[in-house]
Amino acid sequence: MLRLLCLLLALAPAALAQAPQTPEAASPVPSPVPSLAAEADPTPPPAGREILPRAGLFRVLGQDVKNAAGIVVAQVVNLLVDEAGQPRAAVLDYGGFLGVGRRRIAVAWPALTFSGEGIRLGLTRDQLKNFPEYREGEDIILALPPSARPVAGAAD
Amino acid sequence: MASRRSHRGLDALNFFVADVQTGFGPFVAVYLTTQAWTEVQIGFALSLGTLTAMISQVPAGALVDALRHKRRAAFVALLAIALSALLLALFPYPLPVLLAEVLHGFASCVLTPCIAALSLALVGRVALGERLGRNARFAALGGAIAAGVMGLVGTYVAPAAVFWLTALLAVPSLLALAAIRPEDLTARTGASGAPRQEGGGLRRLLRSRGILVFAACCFLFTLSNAAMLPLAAAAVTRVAGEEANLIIAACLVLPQLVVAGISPWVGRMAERHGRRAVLVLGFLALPLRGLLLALVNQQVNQPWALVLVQALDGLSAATLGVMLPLMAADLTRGSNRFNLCLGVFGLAVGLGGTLSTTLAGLVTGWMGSAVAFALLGVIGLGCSLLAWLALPETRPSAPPPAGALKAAL
Repeated sequence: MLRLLCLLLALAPAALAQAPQTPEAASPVPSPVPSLAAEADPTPPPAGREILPRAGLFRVLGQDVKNAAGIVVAQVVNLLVDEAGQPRAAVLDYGGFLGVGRRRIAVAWPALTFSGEGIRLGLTRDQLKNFPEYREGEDIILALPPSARPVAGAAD
Repeated sequence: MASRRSHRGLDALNFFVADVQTGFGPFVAVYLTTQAWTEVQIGFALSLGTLTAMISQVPAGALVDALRHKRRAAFVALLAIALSALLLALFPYPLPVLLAEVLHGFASCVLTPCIAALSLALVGRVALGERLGRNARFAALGGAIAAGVMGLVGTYVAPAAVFWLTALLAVPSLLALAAIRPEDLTARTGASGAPRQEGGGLRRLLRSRGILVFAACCFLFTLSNAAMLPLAAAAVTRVAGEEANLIIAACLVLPQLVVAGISPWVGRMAERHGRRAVLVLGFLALPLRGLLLALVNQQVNQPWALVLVQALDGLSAATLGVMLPLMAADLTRGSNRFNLCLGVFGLAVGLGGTLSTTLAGLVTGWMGSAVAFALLGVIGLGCSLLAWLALPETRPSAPPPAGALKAAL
């Protein structure tokens, strides 16, 4: 029994080591790519540096999303970006009580606002009634604020 | 004759242990999400906890059988569970969380048989049904209140606060354990002296028809029951607007209140009319509930009807909650393998529960939730039929004089 536990504990860090801990709001610095055809190209210069003040930036993954009344209604689980690198949607774990009855839905990026009080969702529970769930591998159904029009893009 | 103090201590122990265990359900996934864990990492951690709990059921049962001082075992198990709650609250990183899950899984498998063994030692076999009914009553009250309080704390304070509260609630549990006087734990249970080796004991157990049939019933019961609430709750979140959280809270609390209300009565019925009658009728609540959920599921405007159907959840949960330890005690009469038998039944319950959510998820994705509910109901019907056709009656031949337990209190 004890050996089994030790084996599991030894394997666990290896299994989880590659997952990133927190996606820091990092400065947009390109990391130097080691060039494999090294003889012909000169070594690239070291990465530049830009320092951003912490105040205006937001961690996104795992963060609470509040409704207009300031009550936590969901957590951000994932972001979906298009090929131009623009965020199109956030995947939220929405609703539930003590973990029971949570649903995963995708909301359009404009539905979220970022301010000093945290991340706010511009849609109420009633507006999201009967909204289909987000499923991996299928086309994504985004929840839009009623006034917004769908953004035309490659994904549509 | 056990003292009032020991009985009250056991009541309080059941209450606070249920409080402590409430936070370790689906809420752990919510907490880890807020710590930016990915879905794969969360799945791994929770699966490890489930796997540990299943693997530990039988060895932990054998361990509790072999220990003479069940109170001390319960004490250590409670401390371990409190420690795992602290690990979750303080260190939400892979290694501590995995350790917490493993620790919690094993400690729970030790604690549950300990409580049943203490109940048996306190009242003996004659009044065991009603005592187990009281255990279930206080556990349900604890679960109902804890679900409400921890749900609110998790939403309005912080997810980590739920685990701090859990660790804090271990203190009254330990005090309740201390209130059970060792002098009262002397009921004659008919157990023969030294415990036999685990290997021989387990093989002997598995050759008993009653044990095999009841283990199959436990498996089918949880296979049917475990996925019904999550499916119904997902339906509630989908169709209900602002009041979704309130409805789900009601769906969690109402069955617990029903269990609190009827458990001692279930225990008395089992003493008076026999175990089989109670089991068959109690298990019939499952197919009924499956059918009603399949019908109500289509009524998108009536989420509150789901809450009423959850009252049937309370009926079946009270049946299994009282009868499982009672059957284990009956079927291991004359041997020292009560806790090992509890471990075997616990393993069956664990297997059924794990398969249930997977099965329901597959069928829902494939054919919709109404079919999933109907399928779960049919499995419940199978469970009831199995109990009716194959389970032997295990009530001791002379029913106790009415009020034997009341006199003891």
